[in-house]
Amino acid sequence: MNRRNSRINIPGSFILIVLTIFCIVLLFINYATGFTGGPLVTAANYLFVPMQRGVDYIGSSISASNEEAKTRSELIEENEQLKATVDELTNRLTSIQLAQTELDELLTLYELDSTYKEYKTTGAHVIAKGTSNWFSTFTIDKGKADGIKKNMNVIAGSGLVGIITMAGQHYSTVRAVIDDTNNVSAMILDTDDNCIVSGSLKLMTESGMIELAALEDSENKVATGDAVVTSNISDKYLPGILIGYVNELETDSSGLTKSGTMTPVVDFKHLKDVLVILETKKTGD
Amino acid sequence: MNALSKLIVKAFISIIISLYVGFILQTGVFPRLALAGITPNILIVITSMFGFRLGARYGMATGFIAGLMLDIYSGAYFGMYALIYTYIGGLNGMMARLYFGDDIKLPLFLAGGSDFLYGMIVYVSMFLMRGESEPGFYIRNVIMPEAVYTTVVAVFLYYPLTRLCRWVDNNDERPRSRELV
Repeated sequence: MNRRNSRINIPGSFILIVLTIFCIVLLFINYATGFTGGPLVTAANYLFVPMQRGVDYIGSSISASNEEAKTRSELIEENEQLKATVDELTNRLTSIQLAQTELDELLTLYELDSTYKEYKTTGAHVIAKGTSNWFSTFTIDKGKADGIKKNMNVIAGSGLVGIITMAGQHYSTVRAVIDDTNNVSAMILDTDDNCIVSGSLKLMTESGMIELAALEDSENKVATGDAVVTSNISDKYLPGILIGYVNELETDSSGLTKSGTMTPVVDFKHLKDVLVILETKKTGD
Repeated sequence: MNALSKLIVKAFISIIISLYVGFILQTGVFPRLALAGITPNILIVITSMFGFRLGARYGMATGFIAGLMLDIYSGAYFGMYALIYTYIGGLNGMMARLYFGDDIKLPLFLAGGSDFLYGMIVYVSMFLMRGESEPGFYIRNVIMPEAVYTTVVAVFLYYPLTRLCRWVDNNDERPRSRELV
């Protein structure tokens, strides 16, 4: 009985109240100052990231050996398909090169710089997926040490993946454009009409799409299949990065704007490697 | 005092180790085994088991640490998960009164139930608040599948976690503390 008496006798309700207050204070600090963990992030950097890298390495070597198990006929078929694609792309490249030369000549004539310069990027590996089924966030294996900062844009292939929400020393977390809380100021490539692209868990589970809203298209020029890119008025996203293609549009009840759905270009289910653009948008403030 | 500090050290070690392994599993391994885009919630299983086996105070401590880990990695609303998991740990601790012997059904039911409750809280606090109505859709497509998958995974986690809880508790003549919140 003695031993029982010597046990901690802090009542559970007291612990609950203390922890509740502590959490609410954390939430408040987060809301007021954007605090996301401070020293805890540094600790996580040394505790979790090496392990996650290891697990990811094992996981990807297992899936790689699955790839190796492809049969001969499959490989031949794939090879033929790829050859056809190479031919097609070479053709297209030639015509684009011609157009590019022409464009360069015209630009020098007008003394203009190209608007969309090539961004400097760094490649990174996705080492852990989000912490819940509700939000589309993931962790990559590069951080401050590699020059990554908060609010840098993340792309894969040619499409926008998301934005860095937190950068640790050797890892960063990325919020994808399909995340339910994510909004991107975008525009239609052909018409320069501005709109808002927001991730949607509901649309994503139903049909693999995201929302497009507040599109001002008074002349009804925007059609299904039009490319949607990040706009030049966005305060966090660099201009001209492809997000996806318009799927369908409907006029809002106000009659002034349109909204609808669009298909993202990036395959978020099979995301393994991404590129981080080592530049943040300069907004002048 | 010696027995007390021993108990605290044991509890601390077991909580940290199991949450660490659970976190790596949840973020690194299970996303590769996702069914229809849904991954199970390992941390809730650990929180629920510790709360249920060791009492509300351990449950709350486990939940709090688990929640903080998630908060560090999720970025938005820092402190939200810590709050939710603390309460879930505490609630499971209150259920400790119902615990008898090695019955596996109740802990599994609690793990699934905790995950369902967690899903509902996340939906209400982070989705409904932003104007995403239609709870039916989210229950059918996110909350229920996750709860079911979590319960299935909990079957495999049951024995290792039970052993860990016994290791923490074996200094005591009573199997576990019965203090309630």
